[in-house]
Amino acid sequence: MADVTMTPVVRARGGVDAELWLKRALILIVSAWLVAVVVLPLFQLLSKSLLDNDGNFVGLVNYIEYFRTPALRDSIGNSLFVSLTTTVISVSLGFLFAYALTRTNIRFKGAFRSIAMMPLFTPTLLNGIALIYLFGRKGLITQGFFGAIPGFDIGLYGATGIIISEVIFTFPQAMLILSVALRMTDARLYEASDSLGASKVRTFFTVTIPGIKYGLISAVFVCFILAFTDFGAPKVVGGNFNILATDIYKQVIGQQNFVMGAVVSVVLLVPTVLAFIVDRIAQRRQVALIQAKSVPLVPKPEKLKDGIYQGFCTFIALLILGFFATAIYASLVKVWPYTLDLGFWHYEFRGTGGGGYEALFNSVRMALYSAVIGTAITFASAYLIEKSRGMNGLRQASYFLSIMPLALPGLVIGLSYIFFFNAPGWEFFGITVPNPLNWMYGTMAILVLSNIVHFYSVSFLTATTALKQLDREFETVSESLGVPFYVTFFRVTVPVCLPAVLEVAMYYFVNSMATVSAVIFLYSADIPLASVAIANMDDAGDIAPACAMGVLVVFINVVVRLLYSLLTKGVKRRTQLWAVR
Amino acid sequence: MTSASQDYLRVEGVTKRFGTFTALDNVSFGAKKGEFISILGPSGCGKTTMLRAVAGLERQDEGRVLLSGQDVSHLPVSKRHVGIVFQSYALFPNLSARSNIAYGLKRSMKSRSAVNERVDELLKLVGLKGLGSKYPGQLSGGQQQRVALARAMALSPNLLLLDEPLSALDAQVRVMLRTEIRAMTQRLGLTTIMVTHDQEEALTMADRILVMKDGELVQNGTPSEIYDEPESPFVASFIGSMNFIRGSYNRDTGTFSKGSVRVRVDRQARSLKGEVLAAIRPEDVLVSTNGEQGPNVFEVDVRNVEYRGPIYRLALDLPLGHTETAPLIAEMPAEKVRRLNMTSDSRVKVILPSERVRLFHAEQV
Ligand SMILES: Nc1ncnc2c1ncn2[C@@H]1O[C@H](COP(=O)(O)OP(=O)(O)O)[C@@H](O)[C@H]1O
Ligand SMILES: [Mg+2]
Repeated sequence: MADVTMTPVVRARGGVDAELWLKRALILIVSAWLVAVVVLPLFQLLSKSLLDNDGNFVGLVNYIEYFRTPALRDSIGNSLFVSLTTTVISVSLGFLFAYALTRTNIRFKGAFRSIAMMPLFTPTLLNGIALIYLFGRKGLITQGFFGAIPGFDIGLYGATGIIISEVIFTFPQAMLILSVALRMTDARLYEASDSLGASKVRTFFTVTIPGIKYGLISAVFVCFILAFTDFGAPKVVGGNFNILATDIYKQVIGQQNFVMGAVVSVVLLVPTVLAFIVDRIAQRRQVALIQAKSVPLVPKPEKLKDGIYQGFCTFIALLILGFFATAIYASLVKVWPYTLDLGFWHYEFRGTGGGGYEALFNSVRMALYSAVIGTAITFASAYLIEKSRGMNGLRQASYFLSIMPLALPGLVIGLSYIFFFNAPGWEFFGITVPNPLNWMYGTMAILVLSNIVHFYSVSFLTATTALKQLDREFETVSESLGVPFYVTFFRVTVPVCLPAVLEVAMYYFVNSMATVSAVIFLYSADIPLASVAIANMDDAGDIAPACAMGVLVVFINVVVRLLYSLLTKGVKRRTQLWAVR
Repeated sequence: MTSASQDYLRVEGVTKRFGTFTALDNVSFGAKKGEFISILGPSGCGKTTMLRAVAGLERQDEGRVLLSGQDVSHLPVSKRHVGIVFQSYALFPNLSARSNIAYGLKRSMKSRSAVNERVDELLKLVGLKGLGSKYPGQLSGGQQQRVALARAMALSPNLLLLDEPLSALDAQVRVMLRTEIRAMTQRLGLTTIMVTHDQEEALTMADRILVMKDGELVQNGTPSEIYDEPESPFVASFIGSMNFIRGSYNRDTGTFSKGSVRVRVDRQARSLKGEVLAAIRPEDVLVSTNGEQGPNVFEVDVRNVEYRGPIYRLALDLPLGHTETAPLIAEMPAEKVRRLNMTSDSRVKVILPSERVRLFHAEQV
């Protein structure tokens, strides 16, 4: 190497111990934050279910009462029935759709994929409302397109309506999870199977299904949990068919019976937590499975097969488009089904409750705060948990607490937050400790916080996955060069992970816009929200404005999603310089 | 052996465990100022862990690490004045080569121009003048390696630690960088420890080689000591190749015997007796051209002749009596093989020079 003299360099002094302590303190803060927003509220909920309405400890009395009341008890069977049915339908459709997108040579894959993802941006309340316009008493199908053709009544209100709504809601999730699983399978296995002369059916059961086993398990549990805990659609189309989620709402909002609300919440939690645990075990196995590099499968053209799948995907895509078209149409019709003039009457939100554009604006504000603050917190925590050394116990515990919200339904988060943040203080051995977080109750802060926790796990896993792809030694390099970890975090880690950061922010935004379950317990009259407005307008019978509000929420979410695509494209172009390795 | 007081780096009885697994088992060695040391061993034997313990990235469970006679066991990496090049290079992909190299400088140098000057100097040092504005992804493997090296050198370390720095490069670049790195550390008088699993790399670059196996240091010596005087069959076969024949040794007569074969062994075979392993390197097996006779001359069958460019590799069968044979590999200059017209299934006489035969404890395997 070239002959040059070396300038002596004076090294920066000190700071190392301080830095180590800072890192430890930050990890402690992360753990404390997770305990404060996940564990303590849940604990509060659990203990509430063991008290009577006056706050005296009564043990399992409330549970005994619950199981003695048929109207409440029957909801368990109902909930299980609709969510299991939904899961079977959604996973089957999701599998076929994902299979078409990954293993066939059909055309318009990109468009199909985008259309199939539309329900992800939709408040589930809107699913119910659109179904009413299609299959309700005066629905498009029920009345045969305003009498043009013979009508057909499917008996929407009740289990049927709930199942259809939940299938629409969960189908994209199943489709996405299974697409990833199908894309990961190794082509060499198929070549081996082919070369052994295995039949198509045999290959399907010995290679395809085992290959996506863990994806399938995951899809089943995600669909089950989502359908089991959703509240929006059942509220609109459930009729007299009681399920756990609507029971909680009725107990708390309708009868102001917080204790029974807590009991139902715990009942709702049991299967969810079980599903969560089974799924976690399955996912851990999978990690071991996918470490070897696999060869991606390139589907061969097959006329008949491709034709069938083309037809299937077109059919599903048209159904989804028709569904949204109905919602938009219905929101524009003057008086359904009598005066079919089109216009923006229902978008004026005059003479209806709910808060109109103020609610919409609040929702956007809340979604924005959730996106910005949520992304920052999620990413920083994931970084500290994933990239630190030492404090292993605390980091593992924090990891577990970070994925636990996956098992927490929005309603449960909402209700436990009422209990936790509304509590004036706690008594420990006769000493009263005032609640330092009490000020948050009824403010925007608690809404944002509930959203961050509600959507924390998926964001956290996205961030962790992105961080895992960085070289393990980045931290060591900066340590050996005497550069503090936070400098490297901002100069290297965040820029390199920017695509994941944007994805997490987008995820927080659209979900915070659409969700109703957690916030419906937490919003205050001064801060009306769009999704809550949909629920309230629907309650009051103002279905058309409710539908209009739902359409606006979807519209904003789609715009944000497009913005995200543009940004991502820009980032990709900029990072292409250094993406090659 | 070097005396401890002279050593810049001393590692004393270092043990490192991961759970119940012992990654380093009571390892001790030293390095003089300016010395180039290679840690050589099969993958998973603890080389990287050793380097990380020296760097201060991994805290040993037992033992001490000393630099200039001072115990630095409790010091973090940033206070040990070491430069590290990682196996993956760990270059920051979103920063240009310049920014990568300047990464640690910004905190220690006052002015931007001083940093720039230093970076220019380092770019020149590693032969990357003019490539400073490129991103790592735009550089070849060898160039990335140079950036990593420049970054490690930026703070003028007293000790340079290289973890398999050349393993990801193709053969030609590797050979070139070998010479360049060695020349650079020599010129700067920089104490260097390089981990490698490539014996050729270790033999050509190092002043001293530490051979590791299963977390233990099994031999510490100069390249020629390691090659010519391996202390165990493991070292003998890990560095270069070696023929082994299991048999018995008679200390009184100084002969090794197996079946009908008797081999005179000149080397003092210390405390050996009973069952032993006789060992000879393939290049030490000679072909008898003028009908020598003697205790170490044997008639062998040529089983296979393999062309290897400048040399031939011969697979021989050494008859041990009746039907038993021992396989023997020999390497010979191509010219000689052609001249003697050695082909498969021919018979030749070979000499196992008594001073080139070594003996090991049979149970040492
Ligand atoms: N952080 C760690 N935790 C647990 N085991 C480790 C860790 N680092 C290394 N090991 C184990 O220690 C052994 C030696 O590793 P390493 O020093 O990287 O080997 P080498 O560099 O010689 O290939 C390996 O078996 C490895 O699995
Ligand atoms: Mg290694």
